[in-house]
Parts: sequence; structure tokens; C-alpha cells
Amino acid sequence: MSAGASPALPEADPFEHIGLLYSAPGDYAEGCAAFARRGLEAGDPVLVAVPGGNGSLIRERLGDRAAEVRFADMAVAGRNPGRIIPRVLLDFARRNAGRRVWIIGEPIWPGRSAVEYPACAAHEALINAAFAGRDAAILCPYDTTGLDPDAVRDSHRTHPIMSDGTASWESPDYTDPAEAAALFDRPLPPPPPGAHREGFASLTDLAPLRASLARHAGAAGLAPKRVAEVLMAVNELAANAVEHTGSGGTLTVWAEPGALVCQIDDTGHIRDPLAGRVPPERSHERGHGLVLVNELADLVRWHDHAGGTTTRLYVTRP
Amino acid sequence: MADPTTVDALSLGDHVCWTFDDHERHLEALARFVRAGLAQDQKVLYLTDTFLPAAFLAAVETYGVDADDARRSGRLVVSTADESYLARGAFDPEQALRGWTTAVEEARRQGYAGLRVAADMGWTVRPIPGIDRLAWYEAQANRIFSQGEALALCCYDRRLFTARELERVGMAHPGTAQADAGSGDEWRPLLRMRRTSTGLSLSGEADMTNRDALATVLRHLVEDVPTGNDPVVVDVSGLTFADLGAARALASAVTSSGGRMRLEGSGPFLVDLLAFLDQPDEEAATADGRVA
Repeated sequence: MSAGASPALPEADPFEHIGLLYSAPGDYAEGCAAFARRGLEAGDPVLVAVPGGNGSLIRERLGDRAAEVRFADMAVAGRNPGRIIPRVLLDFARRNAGRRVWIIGEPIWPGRSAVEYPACAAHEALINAAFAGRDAAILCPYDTTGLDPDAVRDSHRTHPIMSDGTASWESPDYTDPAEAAALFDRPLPPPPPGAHREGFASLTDLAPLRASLARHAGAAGLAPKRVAEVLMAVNELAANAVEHTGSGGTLTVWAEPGALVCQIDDTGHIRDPLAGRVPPERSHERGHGLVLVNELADLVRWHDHAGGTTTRLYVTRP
Repeated sequence: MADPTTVDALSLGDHVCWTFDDHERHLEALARFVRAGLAQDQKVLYLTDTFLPAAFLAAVETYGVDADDARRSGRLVVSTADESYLARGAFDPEQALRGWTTAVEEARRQGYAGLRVAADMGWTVRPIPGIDRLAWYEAQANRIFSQGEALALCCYDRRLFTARELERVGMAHPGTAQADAGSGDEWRPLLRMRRTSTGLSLSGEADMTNRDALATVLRHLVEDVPTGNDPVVVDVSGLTFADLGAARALASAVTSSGGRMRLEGSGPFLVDLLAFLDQPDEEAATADGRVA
């Protein structure tokens, strides 16, 4: 922004976030490859983070130029949608600081479960807040035939620009990032009646809380290293609850087919919608704690309600 | 309050925040504490703010401790906070820390197996100059106790402090015994820090409850360990849990040592956690244009 006397025009935000609607694999490959080529032709770094075999469709279409593109499997790196902004998108931007980055990010695919979907959609909304003002272009493919129609409809709310591969337009349904994220903050199904519940009120309650969580995680079949990761994540959430509410909270733990579920309920509210997604400056421990929780869990669902915050972690189990 | 049996778990090198709300059980714990010290050929020092010294000596006799004999031979010293911490009218933490170093040396010179101290901390609620540095003092004291020649039981009367005050001062101790500690499961200090010939050994769990104790010992370790130019080693193989703050304290101590300090025995999880913390700083990366 100019400091001179003449009124400065607002600078255009260099950030572009585009929803790509496609219905056939060929359209998918061509739409993605065209976007990647634009980045490559500008001499900019390009990242393709899409699930499983989708990367090879784009790779084939790019031919020799695929070697210049970095690929990541979104089903692994972005398995937990809350991990995508800090550890996939911002990480790539940081490694290429000072340059415009081009990223194909596909967080929503037909295999995403109903419990995963709200976290995926909130992630899409919050990209707009996390990348505002950054020199980046992010393209998100949406399968209009494979996905639930609601997911396709939601993509118009979370992307300021939509494209069908030939034309692109400003989305009339685009919604403010925090408002859109709040739309996807949906209540969670209640824990099963047999779930283990344990209150904690002070920091000295954390060690016994970890000890009992370790027993439940071990009994659910988690490997020792995975148990350690669950203890770390839950400990951070519980310590935050003690520190920021003064009254602690409750841990609820249960095993579902395929997942150990840990839920922390406290009476606080998280004011920053980007908490856990944008790493704060190094000196701020709390923000790092939530980024770490997103890093360690296979899925994190946050639910803000009148009585406080529910944070539910899903950890895959054998 | 913590169960009196919790004091049986103490060993040289420990520094524990111990809470009580009942004088009879406090006395029982102190009697166990004194008896164990005498049995282990340690010099025992009790700085009381709860009992008159003569009354305390008579009372522990009823618990079967030959306190009078121990006092006459100098193996047991009972004094008051006023005569020790506050001998000069104000609380001078530097002076108090120097006092502990001298007392440890003296016990060693006198041929004892170590120094064992119990200190009532009720006097700290009085409006005394310097008392705002209590938590700093408690954290610094770990640099002395972790040398393994002394142990300290800091006795806080729960009726005199708010939960928040106890939490804050507790963080300056590697272990805290409060609420129903020791009444169910066997209690031991959550974290043990012990100096070794090459550095420091950590065992147990490092979390928010002992954050300041660990950070202080790590921050001063290179200056405190006389290894010459040899590396200072922090053995973390016995560390069964380290929260993010503890991992950050470890990482930051290694970084700021300029290559002098290294960790030994990190489990696979701690290795991953340290790597997570080692992500390039966004601002720094922009400043020097580094591309990983």
C-alpha cells in the first residue's frame, strides 16, 4: 500500500482459490494438468496433493513435465482434513517462500465418510482465511457425479471462483470463511453409553488421565507408538482446557470398529477459527499444541456449542 | 492432602511440592521422613513453620523416632523459617540458594550419605520483601537438588494458598504430591532429574506440572556441568512421557547450547516430535529466502 498523499487503490489479493467441477476422469486430468502447466510456464513451484491413484491421471497428462511437479497422496497427508492447511499447503508455501505457489488440493472425494465430511468442508472454507493475501493459487477438484450433491453445493460457498474446465466465474454463493466454517460446525453423535468418562480439574490430574487413557488405547489394539501419540494429543487438549477455562473438563473414550475415539469437553470457546491450522510464531505454545493435535489424529472434529467446546479425535485402530 | 506414605518414595535428587491440610497427618509424614533419613545415614533438616521445634521433637518421639539422640549428635536439625530463610528480615533467594549449596557440602564433609530437607512454606504468605521471587527460587533450587546429594520436601499448607498459587509453585518442582496422592496407587515424583558425570538423566514424565523445573535445569545445564569441552549429554531414555512444552524445552536447550548439548536415548515418538518442532520458521525462511 502506498504511503503517498494520493488515494491508493486496494491491491488485488494475489490468492486464487478455485473449485473445479468435473464429471469424467478425462476432464479431471485435463483441468488439473492445465492448471499445473500454467504454474510451470510461469516458472513457479507446483504441488499436486490428490488422493491415491488420481495423481497418476494428472502425471500421465503432464508427460515429461510431471518431473517438475511435487506429488503428495492426499489420502495420507490430508487424511485428517485439519492437517492439510498447516502441513501440506502452508508447508509448501513456506518451503517456497518469496515465490507464487500453485497447488492442486483435493480434500473431498467420494470415499470420505459422513463423520469426515464436515471437517473437510470447514477446511475448504478456512483456506480462504489462511491464504488471504498470500501469493498462491489453489485448485480443488469436485467430482459432480461421484460426490453427494450437498458437497458439490457446498463447494460454491467455499470457493470464490468456480470453474468447469472451460469457463470460470465468481461464485455467487461464496461465503465469508468464518461464517462458512461455522455452517459446517455440526453436532456430533453422542458417545455410546458404555464409553469411559473421566473428569479432570487441575494440571495434576493430567498424569492419572494419561495413565487411564493409555490402558484404553492399548486395549483398543493401538501400537505403543500410536498410544504415545494419542496421549500427547489428548494431554495438549486437556492442558488447554485446564489453563483456559480454569475448571478443566471431561475425557470420554471409546472404541468403534476401526477407530479409537477420544473426546474432550470443556466450558471454553476457541475464538480463532484458524487455531490448529495456522502455526503461530514459535513463542506461542498453545497454538502449536492444536497444530500438533491435528498432526497426530486421523480426524479431528470440533463442535462449539452454548456450553463450551467438544473436541473429538478419531484414531485408526486395527 | 497427600498420604503420609508418599514421603517414603523420596530419594536423593528429588525436590517435591507436598501439600497438607491436617497437622496430625503432616506430623506423621514428617516422622516417616525423619526416620527414613536417619536410617539412610543422611543428615536431616526440618525448617518448621507449623510446630515449635521442641514440641516437634517430642511429638516425633511418639512415632518411635529417637529424635532427641539424633538432635544431640547433629544428625537432625530442627529450625524455623524465621531463623533460616528470614534471618535477615527479607527473603533473599540468591542467599537461600547459596545456603543450600553450603549445607550440602557441609553434610558431605561431615560424612553423611546426603542431606534431607523438609521445609514448611507457610511463611511465604506473609508480606515479606522478596517473596514475589518464590517460584523463581524454587525452580533454581532444582539445579542444586538434581546433583543427587540432597532431597527436599517443600510442605505447602493448602489452607493458606489458592489452587492457582499451588499450581504455579508446583511447576517449579519435578514432582507434586497433593489431593489423594498415595492413597490409592503407589506415588512417586512424576519426574526425576539426576545429574550424571556427563550431564543429566531424566526419568518419568515431563508435563505442565513440572515445566519450570525442567526448563530451568536444562537452561543452565551447560554452565552447571563441568565437562570441559566434552559434550553435555541429556539421557532421556527413562522419560516415559514428554508433552509439547517439555519437548520444546529440550529442543531449545540443544539449539542454544551451540552444539555442546545432545540428547541420548530418544524413543521413536520423541524423535518425531522433535522433528515436528524443527520445521523452518516462516519468518526466518522469508528473510533469508531459504528453500528446503
